[in-house]
Amino acid sequence: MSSVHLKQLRMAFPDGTVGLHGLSLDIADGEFLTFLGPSGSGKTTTLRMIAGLEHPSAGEIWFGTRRVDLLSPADRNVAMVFQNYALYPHMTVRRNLEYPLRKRGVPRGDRASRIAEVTALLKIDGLLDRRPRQLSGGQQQRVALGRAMVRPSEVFLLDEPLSNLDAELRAHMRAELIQLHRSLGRTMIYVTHDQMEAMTMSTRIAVLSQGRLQQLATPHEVYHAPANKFVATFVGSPAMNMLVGRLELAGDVLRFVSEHLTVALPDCRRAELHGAPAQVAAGIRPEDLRLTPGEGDGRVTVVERAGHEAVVWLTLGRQRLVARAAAGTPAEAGTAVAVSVDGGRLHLFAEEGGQRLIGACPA
Amino acid sequence: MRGRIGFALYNLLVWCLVVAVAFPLLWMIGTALKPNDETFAIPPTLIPAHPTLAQFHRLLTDTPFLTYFTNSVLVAAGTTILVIVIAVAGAYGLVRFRFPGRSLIAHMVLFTYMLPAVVLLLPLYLIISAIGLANSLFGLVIAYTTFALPFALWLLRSFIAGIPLALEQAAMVDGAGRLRAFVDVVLPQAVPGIISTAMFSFILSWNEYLYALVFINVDERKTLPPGVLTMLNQNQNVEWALLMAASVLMSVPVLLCFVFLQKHLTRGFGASSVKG
Amino acid sequence: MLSPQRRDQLTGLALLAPTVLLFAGLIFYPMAQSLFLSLHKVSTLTQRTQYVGLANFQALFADPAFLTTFFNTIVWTVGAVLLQLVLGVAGALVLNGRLVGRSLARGLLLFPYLLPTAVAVLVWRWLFNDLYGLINHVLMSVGLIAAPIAWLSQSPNAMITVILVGSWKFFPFVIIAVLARLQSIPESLYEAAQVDGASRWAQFWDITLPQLASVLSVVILLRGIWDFKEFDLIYLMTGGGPGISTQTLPILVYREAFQLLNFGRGAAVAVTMFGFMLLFFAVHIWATRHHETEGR
Repeated sequence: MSSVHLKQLRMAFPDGTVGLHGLSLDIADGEFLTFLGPSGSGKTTTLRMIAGLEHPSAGEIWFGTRRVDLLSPADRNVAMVFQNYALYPHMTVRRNLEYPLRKRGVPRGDRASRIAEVTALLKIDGLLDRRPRQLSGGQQQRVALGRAMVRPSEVFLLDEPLSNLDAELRAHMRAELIQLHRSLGRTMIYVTHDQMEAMTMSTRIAVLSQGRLQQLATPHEVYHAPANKFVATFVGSPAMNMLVGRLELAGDVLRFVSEHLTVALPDCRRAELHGAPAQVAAGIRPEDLRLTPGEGDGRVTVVERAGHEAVVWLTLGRQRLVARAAAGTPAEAGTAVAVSVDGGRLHLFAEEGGQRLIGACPA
Repeated sequence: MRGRIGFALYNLLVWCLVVAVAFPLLWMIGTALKPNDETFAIPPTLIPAHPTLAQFHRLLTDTPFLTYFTNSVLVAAGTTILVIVIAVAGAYGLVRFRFPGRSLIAHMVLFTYMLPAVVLLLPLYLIISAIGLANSLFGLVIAYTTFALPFALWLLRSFIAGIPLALEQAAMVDGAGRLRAFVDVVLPQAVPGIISTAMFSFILSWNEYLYALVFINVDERKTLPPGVLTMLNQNQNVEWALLMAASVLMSVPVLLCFVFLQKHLTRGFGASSVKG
Repeated sequence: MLSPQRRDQLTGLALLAPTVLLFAGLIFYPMAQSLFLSLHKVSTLTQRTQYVGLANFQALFADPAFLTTFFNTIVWTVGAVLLQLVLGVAGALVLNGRLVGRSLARGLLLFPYLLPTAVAVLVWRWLFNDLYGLINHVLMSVGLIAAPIAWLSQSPNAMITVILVGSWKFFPFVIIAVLARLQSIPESLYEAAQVDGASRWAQFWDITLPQLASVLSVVILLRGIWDFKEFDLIYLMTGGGPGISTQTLPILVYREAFQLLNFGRGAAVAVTMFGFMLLFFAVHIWATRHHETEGR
């Protein structure tokens, strides 16, 4: 077990495209760190470079005080769960679990006890003599986890391990992985494009886009204080509303003014906004948008009723907005609706460059 | 009702055509089972009135057929083993490793796979004579490598490319070196592909005529194709029943492979590049 | 210490080394030697070579027999490819549809492709035999012909017969290629067309045929290449005769080099053929370039 340090990792592909522009970050020992990003963001490349399956064009990778980027995967002592599990089809479950132990020269007696321990933990002890193709997706998933857990390793890498499972099983495995991390206490590095997985499991999330680190923070921070427009709109579902406008000082009150919506900002924001550019983008989470049906210049286009809540899509002039409302909201498609928002809930970003200016006021 | 009659008629028509295409094969078997006096009977019959294995018996006892057969087995098996060993390593290197000139080598393989044998015939003959392998089966094996190796490389390349890369990578993460991962994980997965490639290479070598004709001039080293055709041209009175018996025996190994290979015909015919 | 990439590259090259060596020694060196010989006069007795420039080629192209041979090669290639195409597409359509005993039919139709050419030739020569052949007998007994036809010893019968036999032997390639493509056309396309009210004929015309276009172009090219270089079948059927009426380029190479022992001239024919192959190959690469990038 150890901490992991990435120093100025860069990946340029032979065709000239750059997959990663100098990524640096430190992962603490025992942490559950998730790389979150859309496809092509560089998250899988980063994970595979940590495993030694791809070689950085520049930069260094350290496990604790050991530099590993010039080592082969076998010499790095990492464990990895692959997206499609990569179970050896010609070996039984037992042989699959045994393989990493054999390659590390673990004596026969110890192997059996290690396997027994892991299979009991993962509840797959009944499957030992089956072959991978005789297993369900969930069972294969467990075996893949088992193969990674069966021997001690410096870090535990997981490459979208839940993406091939159905929704129910995925939710279940999420809970199990959280438990597993707690009981193993190993450094886990997890790659996903699913924000739900990232939010629920991670100690910290590294949000990547186009080969650049956008934010490295706890799930709470990523959601409540997104570092820029990309993070703000990528995390959260439905996505954060984004309105373009400007900051105006009207008498003593600082206001965000856009074409159809004007929001007064509370005093707690004033100091932070000193010197902010006039052109800004305001982000509003759907749950922060208050709707008053029956009047106003908003127009409801669609209401999605999901049982415990309703998602209301509306237009405000040419601006499209989405709001979260109580399940019983009287809003109906085609009706008018008034829109308001508490100035303390506004996220403001520079229109140019998208950097965050301020977050929501402390409650 | 009309649909069913239509379907039956359609089947009948199609099967007549299928039988027509396969007829030469049936005629070959029919003739091979006839005694000599029936071969030229008028009217000719497909099914012999007095079926006999006499032709096969004569073939094996009175003619050098068995020698030709043995030579063919040796050459085809030798070529296959040589080519498979080299091509498995080569195909793996071609599929999984990145190095300058990789795609050039891939194109080179495809190109040589299509190269006419006659272009190489004369210089190969000179080379093989120069190193003293004229009239030897080993010389023939070397010559056959020129078409069997590109073919096997091309075929194995597609088989190996179909094995998920993640398997090897998992093995490497689990502590295996690159070549160890190949042996532990890739090779077992590639076995069906290797077997079919071996069978196709065997058939190619088994059927080859031109090199065998040019490189072997002594009767006891001849392989089946030129050997049996010598039998055709030897006598004024061609013994068709005997030749058909020889044809049947020549086809048996191919037929056995063919039955095994049903699943891989698209690749083996070289048609996989057109699958789109 | 070598970097991991470098080590990886070296392993890859080491795995390919035997292949590359064999290619160099058995394919590229001979190819170069062919080129060398084609520019030389080679003494039959001493095998001493003398540089003669393009004289071999000049003599060749001025020889009417060469032009006939070239023309024969074109006739054979075009004829055989066309017939294979018709038979092969028909066979593929039949095998792709509902048919009783389909897998047996598939086996019977495909087997000739793997049959030794020597066997195919023996059987067909027996069937086409002037005096005792089944084909003449049947044609005479149903009254289509009055006297036996010399299928292989008269022109142009010989070329027609060779094309027929060649097509029989090689058309399974077209079946298998077209069949593979037919089976990869998603059923939902036909269902969508049915919902849109397309007749069976319209479905064939609007869905099947456009889907086959790319396969057919590659099939034509590959079969073209392979038929162009075919030696065994023609040589064994007719030996190039009667006269030189079925002599194609590969047979000419063999004759010049091994019957007339005219090495330089034989090499010149081979090099000419090689030039054509390069052309075919370039077209093939061009036609399949998108398949290649997909397949990586």
